[in-house]
Amino acid sequence: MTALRDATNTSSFDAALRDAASIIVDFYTPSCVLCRKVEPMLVALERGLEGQLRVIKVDAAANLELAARYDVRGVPTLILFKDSEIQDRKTGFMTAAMLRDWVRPFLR
Amino acid sequence: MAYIELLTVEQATGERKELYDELERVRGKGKVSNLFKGYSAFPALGKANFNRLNVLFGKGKLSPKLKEGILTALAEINHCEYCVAFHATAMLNAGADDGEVRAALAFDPDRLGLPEKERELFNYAMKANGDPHSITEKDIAKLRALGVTDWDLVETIETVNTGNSFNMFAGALNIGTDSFLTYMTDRTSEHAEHGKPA
Repeated sequence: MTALRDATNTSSFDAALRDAASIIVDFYTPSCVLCRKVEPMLVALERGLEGQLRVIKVDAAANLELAARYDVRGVPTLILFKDSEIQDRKTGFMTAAMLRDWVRPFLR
Repeated sequence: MAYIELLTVEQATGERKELYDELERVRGKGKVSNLFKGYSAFPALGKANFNRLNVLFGKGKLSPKLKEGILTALAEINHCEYCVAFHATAMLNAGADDGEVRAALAFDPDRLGLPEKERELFNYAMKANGDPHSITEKDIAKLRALGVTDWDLVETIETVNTGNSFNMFAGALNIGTDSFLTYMTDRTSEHAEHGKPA
């Protein structure tokens, strides 16, 4: 299974946000069990949408500035951006089907 | 290579041979899987787990295609290449085509070729596996409206439990792919050490 790309600092995060029209940012922590469970769902979502959407991960514990910027209070927190603007956010586990239903209206 | 000894059919004796004989009786000659060769180190547990599978598939009411679809998806989630190969093969044997196997690997119930009730049960299984406490009364009401019974819910959850326990067993003991599996063998052979065919 392909791993998601990790934005390891503020500048790589900002570059990723600029580079993709639609992007989900997955704020996680390494010790979070639900984060490990949602990751394969996000991989399947990104793969299934074939370039329409990118998913990147941000370790919220290692990137406190980014976590504070987006008011991340729990993990996993998923934030959907379109043209660098926040469209919506979700917290907790979601299946791949739930993720597809969530993002579909924003990709039209 | 597996971290425990996997005896061949010819090497097995006593209770281990009894388990192997039962596997060959049910599955066919030469179909003693590496998973159960591993379990045969504790033969009574091996027999109990094979019985668990036989009850799940022999006495269950849900389709084998749904259950193998769930088991294939779980194997992908748990990074168990052996289990992906095993259950993808079983999915094909249950009537699925390649596209439906890919749908299971992408956790996509809508392309599994299942009736609506079983599509929703697949999604329920994924949600239960991800976070059982996230399942709500609304989720259950949606399933009930499609005719899902208590039996169906128990059978679905036990499919998830069985998949996860077998995936963990195979992963922790580095048990590799069986030579008789036909699906994904190229993919499994790409893996370097962990999960390499035993």
